[in-house]
Amino acid sequence: MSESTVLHQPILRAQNVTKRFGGLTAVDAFSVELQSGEIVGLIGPNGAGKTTVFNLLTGVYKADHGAITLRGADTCWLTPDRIAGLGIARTFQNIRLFKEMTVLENVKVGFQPVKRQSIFGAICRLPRCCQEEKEIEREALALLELMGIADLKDARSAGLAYGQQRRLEIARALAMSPKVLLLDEPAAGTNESESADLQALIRRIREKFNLTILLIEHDMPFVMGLVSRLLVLDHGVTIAEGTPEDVRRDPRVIEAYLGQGAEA
Amino acid sequence: MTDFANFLLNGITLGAIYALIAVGYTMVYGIIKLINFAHGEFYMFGAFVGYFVLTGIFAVPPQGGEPGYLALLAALLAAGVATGLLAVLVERLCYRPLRNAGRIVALLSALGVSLFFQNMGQQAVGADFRKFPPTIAETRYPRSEVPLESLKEGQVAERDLRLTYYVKAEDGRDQQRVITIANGGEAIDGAQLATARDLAASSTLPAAVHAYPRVTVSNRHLLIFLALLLVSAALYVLVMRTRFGRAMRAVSVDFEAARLMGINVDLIVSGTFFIGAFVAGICGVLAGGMTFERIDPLMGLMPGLKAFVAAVLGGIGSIPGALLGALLLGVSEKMVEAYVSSGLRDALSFGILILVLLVKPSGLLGRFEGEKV
Repeated sequence: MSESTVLHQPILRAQNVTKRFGGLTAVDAFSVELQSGEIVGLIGPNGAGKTTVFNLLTGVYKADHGAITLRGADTCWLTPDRIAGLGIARTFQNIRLFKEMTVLENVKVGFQPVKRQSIFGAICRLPRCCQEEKEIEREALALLELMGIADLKDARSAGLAYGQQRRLEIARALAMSPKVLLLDEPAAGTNESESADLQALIRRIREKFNLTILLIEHDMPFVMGLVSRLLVLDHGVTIAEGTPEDVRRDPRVIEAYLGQGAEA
Repeated sequence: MTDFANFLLNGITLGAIYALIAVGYTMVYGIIKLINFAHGEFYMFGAFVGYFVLTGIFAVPPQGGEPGYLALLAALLAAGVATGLLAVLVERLCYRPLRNAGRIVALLSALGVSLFFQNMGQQAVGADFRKFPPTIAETRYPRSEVPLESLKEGQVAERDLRLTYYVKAEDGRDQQRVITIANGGEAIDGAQLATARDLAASSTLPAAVHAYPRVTVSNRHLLIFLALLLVSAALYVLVMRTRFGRAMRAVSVDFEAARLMGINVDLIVSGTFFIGAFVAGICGVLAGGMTFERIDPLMGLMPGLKAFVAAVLGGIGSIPGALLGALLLGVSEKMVEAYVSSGLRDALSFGILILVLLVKPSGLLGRFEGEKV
């Protein structure tokens, strides 16, 4: 395989993925190819099926039709934990931190698939386990530092402010050393200056961890300033795809967002 | 006062037994929100594994014999591991396929598993009680040795005086026996003293007279306390200090999110079942076997239900809660038995269950759990 084909092989590819719930087609023939290092946006009105796409990519739902491959490997038959282990990490629209655990512990959970430890060894407190544990602690702290919430490490995660909880979710996802990061409305509930910080932060982690990012967002200025490409979903159907400029001018997008006959 | 101290001690022992069963109940509930009614049967299964190891491998004769600590350790280990593996199998076959079928369905399956083991047990080993071999000689503490020669007829004993001596049992092993020479506050009887001298002289191992205070504790009970202490410490380290424990806690808070963090939840659930049943299995040997001294296939029913009450009282899902609830329940039961009526013992326990469910369903240390949307 030549260098150029390696470069052009998508890291994550979904082809004609369809998911139905009873009579409702939540996602209809969804296709996407994420190239390594890209930031791609997924937008659409409420109920368009964006989070369902995330659930399909992470294996929470199994697709009725279509195929999903991660670095060329079919993920259709894998459980969500295996898929996560292969390098897809995500955050949640309605924050799902491990509430009773501390901020630091939440991040440590993310290291689960990366570092192996046997139950027996853990009980015996083998020196190797202790050392690994220390390593995890150090790396977890570094991630919290990067997210700017290191001073909250011993706080209960449920007690954090909304924006901090979103950052903690990102830190936890990064702990899994993912190749692909799926962000579900990372800017929800943030004010203008916070969302500018978050933009910079997302760019920074993409560089630092060599990530490919797919993000769902309602905050249009936020998405437009961040992504190289956009996909627009409406009622489960991909109605537009392209650069932010193209999408912004697309009549179908305007219609989906503002209703028929509205002026852009 | 001495009576009260003895009741309290017995209550704590009973509580420790409930605690060893309740931790498994509460861990499994904490992680998959299943009330595993078959947990009492794990306790029964462990007792039988221990029984067969002792009578089979260590060839303890039916009427007893004391093969000692090594045999006990082997019996405990075998009971723990076999029970743990059984629990993993039960979870795999009877609960995992129903994980998405709703909590009531899994609960009914658990009831079915419980009845299945009770009845299969009766088929396999018979419904009759079996005497569990004593395994280790019983010694009560605290005690101080008194030279036999120093005792004189008519002398008033300050404390209970008992002679420990040994005879050759049928299988050739030395078996420990104990007779009382005099109770504390009584004068020593001449004939009894003469008998004691004869027994001491014919003893196959060195005999000894010990003075005991009114409140003593058996080494078998101390073993239960020790087991509870070790189990509590090990669980604390496991849950709070290891990656497996962290994963357990994550799964217990949010099953699906834990999965998406790459945690193999099936492995965590299997591990939890193994650990809970391991502890119940060794408790079957220590309590069901060595303390209550007789075992049968239905022996797990009542302790299982009591452990469930203890777990609910402490706050189901919480390990410290289960320990606290179990100790409280054990002591209350013994107190009611001693000062009110032994017939009211079980009524008290289940009365507590109803009361907790009515007044504070989250228990003493549990957290309120709203329904997840």
